[in-house]
Order: sequence, then structure tokens, then C-alpha cells
Amino acid sequence: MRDVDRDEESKHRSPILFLAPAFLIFVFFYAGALIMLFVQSLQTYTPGRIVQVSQSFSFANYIIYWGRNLVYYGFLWDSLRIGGIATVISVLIAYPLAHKISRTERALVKKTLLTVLVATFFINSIVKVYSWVIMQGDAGLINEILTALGYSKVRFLGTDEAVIIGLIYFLFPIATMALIGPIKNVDSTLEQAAGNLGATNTQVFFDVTLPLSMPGTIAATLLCYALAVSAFIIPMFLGSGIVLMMSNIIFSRYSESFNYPGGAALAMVFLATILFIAFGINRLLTKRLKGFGYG
Amino acid sequence: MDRFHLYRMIDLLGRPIVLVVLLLTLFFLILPIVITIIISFDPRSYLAYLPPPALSVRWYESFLRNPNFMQGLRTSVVVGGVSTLISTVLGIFASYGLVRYDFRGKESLNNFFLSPLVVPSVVTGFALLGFLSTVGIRGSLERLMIAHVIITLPYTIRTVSATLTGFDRSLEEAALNLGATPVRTFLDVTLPMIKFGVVAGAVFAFAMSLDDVSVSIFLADAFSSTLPVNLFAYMKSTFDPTVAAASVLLMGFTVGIIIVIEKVMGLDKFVGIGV
Amino acid sequence: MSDDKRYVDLELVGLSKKFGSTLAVDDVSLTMPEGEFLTLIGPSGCGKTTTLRMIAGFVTPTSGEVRVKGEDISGRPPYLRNTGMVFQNYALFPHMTVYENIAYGLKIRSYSEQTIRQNVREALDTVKLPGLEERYPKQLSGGQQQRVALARALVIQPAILLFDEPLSNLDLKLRQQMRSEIKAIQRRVGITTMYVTHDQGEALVMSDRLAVMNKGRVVQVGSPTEVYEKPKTRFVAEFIGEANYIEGTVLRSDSSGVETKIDGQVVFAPPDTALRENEKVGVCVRPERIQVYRGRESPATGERNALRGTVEEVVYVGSIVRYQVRLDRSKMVVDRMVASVDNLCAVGETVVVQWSDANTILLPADTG
Repeated sequence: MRDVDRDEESKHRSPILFLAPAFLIFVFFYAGALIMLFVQSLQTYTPGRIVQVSQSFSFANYIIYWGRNLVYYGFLWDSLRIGGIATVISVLIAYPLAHKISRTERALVKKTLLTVLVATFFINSIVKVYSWVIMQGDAGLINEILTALGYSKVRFLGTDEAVIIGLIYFLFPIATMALIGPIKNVDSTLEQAAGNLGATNTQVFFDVTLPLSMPGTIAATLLCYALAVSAFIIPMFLGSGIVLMMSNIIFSRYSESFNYPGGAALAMVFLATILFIAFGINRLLTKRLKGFGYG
Repeated sequence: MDRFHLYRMIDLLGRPIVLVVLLLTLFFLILPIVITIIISFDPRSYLAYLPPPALSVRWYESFLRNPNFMQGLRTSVVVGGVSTLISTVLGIFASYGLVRYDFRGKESLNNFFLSPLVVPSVVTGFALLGFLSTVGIRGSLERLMIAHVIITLPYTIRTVSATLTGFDRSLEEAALNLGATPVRTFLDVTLPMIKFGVVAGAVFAFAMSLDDVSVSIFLADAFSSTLPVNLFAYMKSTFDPTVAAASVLLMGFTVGIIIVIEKVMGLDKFVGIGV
Repeated sequence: MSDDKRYVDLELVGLSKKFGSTLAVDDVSLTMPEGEFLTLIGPSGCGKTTTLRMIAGFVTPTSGEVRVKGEDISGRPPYLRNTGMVFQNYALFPHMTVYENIAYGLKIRSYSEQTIRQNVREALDTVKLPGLEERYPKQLSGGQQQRVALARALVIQPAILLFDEPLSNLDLKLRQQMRSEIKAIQRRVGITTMYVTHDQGEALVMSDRLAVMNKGRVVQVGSPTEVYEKPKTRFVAEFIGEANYIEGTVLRSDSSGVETKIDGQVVFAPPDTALRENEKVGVCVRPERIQVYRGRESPATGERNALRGTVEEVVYVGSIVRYQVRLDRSKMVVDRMVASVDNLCAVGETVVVQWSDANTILLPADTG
């Protein structure tokens, strides 16, 4: 079948009917909400109202939170840093698992791995957070083992490491699922050809499989990073109020003061940062990769 | 040692190392779950070293008898169910428009629909709080449903698009050729073929709806609140094993999901469509 | 004039299709009488599939008309055209049984359960697959799926039957078997059929007429014999069958024949009043129409065309041996049946290649 025929035909018909319902709902409720958030960030907070309706707009909130001192930049940086470490580690350990699942021929192994993977993906994040609080608590399993072996207790909760571990636990199934597709798409005959030419399995992996799965791997990494940086309940419980990420900051500032415009100013810069990183890096890298013949 | 033998050695060493890494990974994944299950049966009301001195179901009772949690469960099921339904239907239509047609701005539109995945959920929830108040939607149940449609739509669009893209168009042409109108073709041929994408999308949507805290927390109130939000609030003050019991029950629900997926389409097909 | 239309089943009038700036189909006009089996053949990208899809209604023509039994159907959507199509990949609905697949078109036409059951059974008998109603497509072999696809298209009794390279996914032996079966069924049912393929073997065996296409245009239409024996251009000569092609100049053209000078020698062809002296022509001879004689002398047979050369290559293909013979400035390919494997010419041998006047084809000097 000549797909070029179909593609050319479809250029003339209109998809509006199909796209309208979802589009309208999204534009109104979602884009509308975000636009209103921006507008609100330009308002001044008067106690007694959440949403402000005055006619005067200014960037005062931005100056307060993002101009006067660097405190919030610190929290933003913490989020980016902690999120980054967690993402990199998660993708690194997710890749072997995704590779095994895509390439293994033994049905039983595949089924077991898939079951564990899907199970850990769908387990509620409350459960995941709770279980790590238990593990990392002063009376938790890790400390129990340490004291049993003769070491002194280690305080985990409230450290960067605790949050990172929790994030890894959360990101890992997502990263694995996102990587299976790109790895599967690497044509196994290419790997066979490389082997035929004398490459060992390791070489095949680094020379063929990894490079060809790069676009998908990058997409998966960016998705994980966006999720990691925006994490809320994981840093809230595993960070114990000491490690604070941007989502926690926005939430706690608002719950303390009900200052909606102020929160909005925090939120908008946070949002802009994440969007910039996600879409910006994506475009940068896809442009470079297209030069190598991936596009 | 020459290069060839070096690579051979890496190959031979590599396999057991990768195996060890995989096993450690699996262990790392399963351990916290196991611990939580054990704790849920631990009668002590403070967190202490394992193993528990006895086994008890008091925390399950505590959870199931708690009216707050039960209300949360009801709300979560209702909100999840309704938003999944809406999201799935919208997702089918939107996917069809995105996959079958070519137009300027298609990629941007696609990114727009998928953006709730990337936009921090706290920001989404916070924004909706202000907006929904302004447009007069004050009921928390309505607010939650709208919010959950927004956060679940990316999943349904993603899965249905994946199945539509891989779909053999000549099947639809054959139906048209045999006399079926476009509507009939869609119902008789297209829809059954994308069934897997639709089911996968619905499963993701419902699970993500049940999972959400950071959006729902801004939109719930004292009367209508979702279960995860209620658990979240509980955990802020008390850390007793009631949450462990709730966790085990939620895990049971996860097991249910997996059984359903396996029965309907098999796990590997699901993962193929999933992300 | 309108009386003739009664017997014309399918008419393509000036069909053209432009995709962006590419002209995929260029002013194609064909007339098919009832019951004819016409094959559209050509290389990939020649427009044959696009033409077929315009008849089926999946592609809208940029200009021109499609008429079935005198009615202009060009504006109609595919489901109102009553053309039955057999797709290249069969397009059997995987979620329906064989029965449901074949019954589908009948269900849409609201036939009764009983009628449907009967028709499906008959259709399966016609394609020689009785009893497979309850199977699913994935349980069938390629050849079986092929027949189910045919049954599904036939059962709705369409005005026109369309085939889009249906045999390209089958192996050689199966292809040959299916060719004859499809043709036999078509003849028995008597349905007007348009068949698209790039395989000239299929085209020659199955068709009442062939339409050879290249770059969107129909280059020649005729029966297999006409197209094979009297190709009108070098392209047709080389696409259908094989051809030696050597350019030369006409020395003399009168009622006794045409003499042409090629590569330092004179060759003879049947009379053609359109050719003048000094005109440039392409001399074309089919490899299997040439004889090979060892040595330097040509035996006195009735074949006037004789050229001396050296065997450059000998390729043995079992039933046939192919010689590549180098002449003065050109070469010729000769195919001979192998009567005995001991009697083949050897590389380096001097030979004389000979063929009769009637087998000389004169073509316009190369415009492709």
C-alpha cells in the first residue's frame, strides 16, 4: 500500500471534529488556569481573598521572592540537583533491566520481570513513600541491620540521600517502562550483523544498541527529570522538613499564609524552569542527533 | 592481553555482573514492600525493630473503621471512575485526530495534550484552585473530576495513539470497499483493533488518578477528599501502621490491576503500548 | 454510441493525479469490455497502484473520470462504488472468523442470515476452501488467506474486481498455482477484472490485455501476444520479456522490407512504410529467437540476419543456457534451450548468431 497516497489525502480533510472536545476542555480549564496563575502572580495579596481581582498589576511578587535574595533560588537549585542525581541513577539502573526484558528469550524470566515491573509501577506513591520512611527511620530496617552488625545508627530521614533514594524508587519503574520501547526498536538484525563482523556482546551493546536507542533514552530521561524535580510527597516525608524541594515550598508557603499571588510567583518561575529544561534540551539534542542520521 | 581477549573477558565478566545488578535491583524493589506488609501486622503502635512480637490485624480494623478514610475511598473511586471514563472517550477522539490527520502545529498540539505529565502537579493544582474558584466551580467533587480528567488525558492519548499508529490501514479500506460507511468501519473494524490501547489507557488513567496527591490536595475539602490525600494528612501527624494496612490493601488493588491486564492483553503487550 | 456503452464495463477517461508537484498518473484512458481481464503493469512508481486506487475510490483524481457501466462514479466514496478489491496484504479482519470476514459485505447489504450462509459457503467452494468458516485469519497459511480475501471480494458480486499485487507475498510455486486459479475463477464467474502487478510473468499468463505503464502514462495496451511480439518502445520491449537493443540507421525501406545498418553489418526486418532512409532506429531482437552456430560461417538457413561474434559468458540455468556474445562494437544475449549439457559453446569460441526477418523488431531510436 502506498502510504504516501493516504498521507496526501489526509492533508485535505479536517480533524477538527475529533480534536475539539479534548482541545476545548484543555484550553479552558488547563491553559486557562495556568494563564490565570500568571495573571495572579502580578497581583498584590490582600488578606481575606484567595484570588485577587484588583486592576493593578506589578511584578512586585517576583521581586520579593526572586529578586531580593537568593533563598528561593537555593530551593530551586536543590530541586534541580536532587532531581538530577536521582534521574541519572534511575536511568542507569533501569537500562539493564529494560534491556533484559526486551531481549530475553526465556518466557518465564520475561514474565516475572514484567510482573515485578508493572507491580512496582502501579503501587500507590503513598505506599512507596511510607515504606521508605519505615526503612529509613531511626527504628527502621536499615538501622536495625546496622546496629545488629555493630555500627551506630545513621540518621537518614531529612537528608538529601534519603530523598534521592525515595525518588529513585519512584522513578525506576517509569524509566524502565519508558526504555523498553526504544531498546526494542533497535533492529536485532543490526546487532547480529555486528556480531557477525566480530564484535563481542559488550561491543555490540556500546556500538550498536546504545547509540541507536539514544533518542528514546533521552526522552525517557527528560520525562523522569521533570517528574523528579516536581516531586512533592517524597521530599515532604523523606526530607522531614529539612530537605525542601520547590513543590514543598509552594505548598507550605501557601498553607501558612494563603498568599495566592505570592505562591503564583513562585510557581511560575518553577514552571518556566522545568519547561525550559524539558523542551529546550529535547530540541537541542534531537537537532544534534538528526545530524547523525537519527531523525 | 590483546584487545580481542580484553573484550572477551569483559563479556564473560559482564554477564554475572549484570546479573548481580539485576538481582540487587529486584531486591531493592521488593524489600520495602515486604517490610510494609510485615509492619502492617505488627501490633506495636510505634515503629520498632523487626520482627514483630506477634501478629495482629488491629491496623486493618483501624483503617476500615475510619470514616475519613472510607469517605476518601468512596470519593477516589467516584472521581477516578468518572474522570477515567471521560478521559478515555476524549482520548480516543483526540488520538484519532492526531494520528490520522496531518496539519500544521500537530506536534505542538500533541505536546500540549501531554504537558500535564511535565508540568509540576503542584503548579497544576495550585492554578486550578484559583481558576475554578473564579469561574464559580466550588464543589470539591466537580473540581476533583475536572482536575483528574486533565491529569489523566495524557495517558489515554498516549496509549490509544500508540495502537492507532501501528494499525494497518488497509483493513479500514477493505471495509469501505465492501460497502461499510466510515462510521460503520470505525465501529466494526477500528474500535475492536484499538481495544488494547483503550484498555491500557483506562488502566493508567485510573491508577494515576488514585495515585495523585499534589493536585488533589488543593482542590479537596473537608467533605470530599480523596483517599491518598486523607492518608497524606494522616501521615503528617501520625505514623502508626494504619497507613501500612492501607498500603497493603492498596497493593491488593494493584495486584487486581495486574491480573486484569494479564487476562485482557498480556503484560508484554501492555508494556509495549504503555509508555 | 450509447449502445456500445452497454458492453463497456469500465472506462477510465483522462485520469490524472497530482501529489503536490508530482504527477503520479498522467492522462490515463482505458476502456474495458465486460468480462475482460486487464493487467496494469509497470515498474514501481509508474502509477499503476494509484490508478487502481482511484477506481476503488481511495484516491480522488485531480482530473478525469471513472465510469462503471456508463455511470460516472468518480465523485462517490469507496463504500458506494460496488468495486471488490483484493489487497496486497489481504487485509483480512483479524478479529473476525473466515465466515465473518466473507459475510461482512453481505451483512452491510442487509441480506438475510440464510442467504448469507449460503453465499459464504458457495464463495468458499469457489475458492476451494470448504469448511474453514470458523478459523481465524492468523490460523491460515498465506495462500489460504489469499483465497479468503478473494472470496470476500467476490461474494458481494461487484461490478468490477480489483487486484493490488495480490501474489507478491507468496513464494514462487504458490504464485504460479494461484495465478491459474485466479484466472480460472475469473473466467468462470465472468467478472470484469483489473489486475495490478510488476511481475510480467503473471501479466502474460493471466491477462486478456496488458496496459504497460511508465512514469504515470500508459505506454502500450494490447494482448500479451501483441505486447510481446510488437512492443512500441524500447521500454516496453525491455520490460515485458527481454530484448537485445542496438541502434542503427535505415539503409533502405520499401515493400520488401527494411534494411538497417548496425555495428558494421546489415540486418533485415519486415516492411514498415513509416520508416525512411537514414532514419535512426533501434534494432531489437529477443534472446530466445536467436540461433547460435559454432564457427565463422553461417549455415544456409532461411534466416537472413547473421552476425559473427565471440562468446564472452556462458550462464547455465538448468533448462536454458544464456550466451553473451560480443560483436564488433556491441553485444547480444542469446537464450537457448539445453538439449544436452555436453553440447554447450565455450567462452572464447567464435560463433555466428542468426535470426529471421520476422523476429527483428524496429523501435523508435531510444527515448525510453
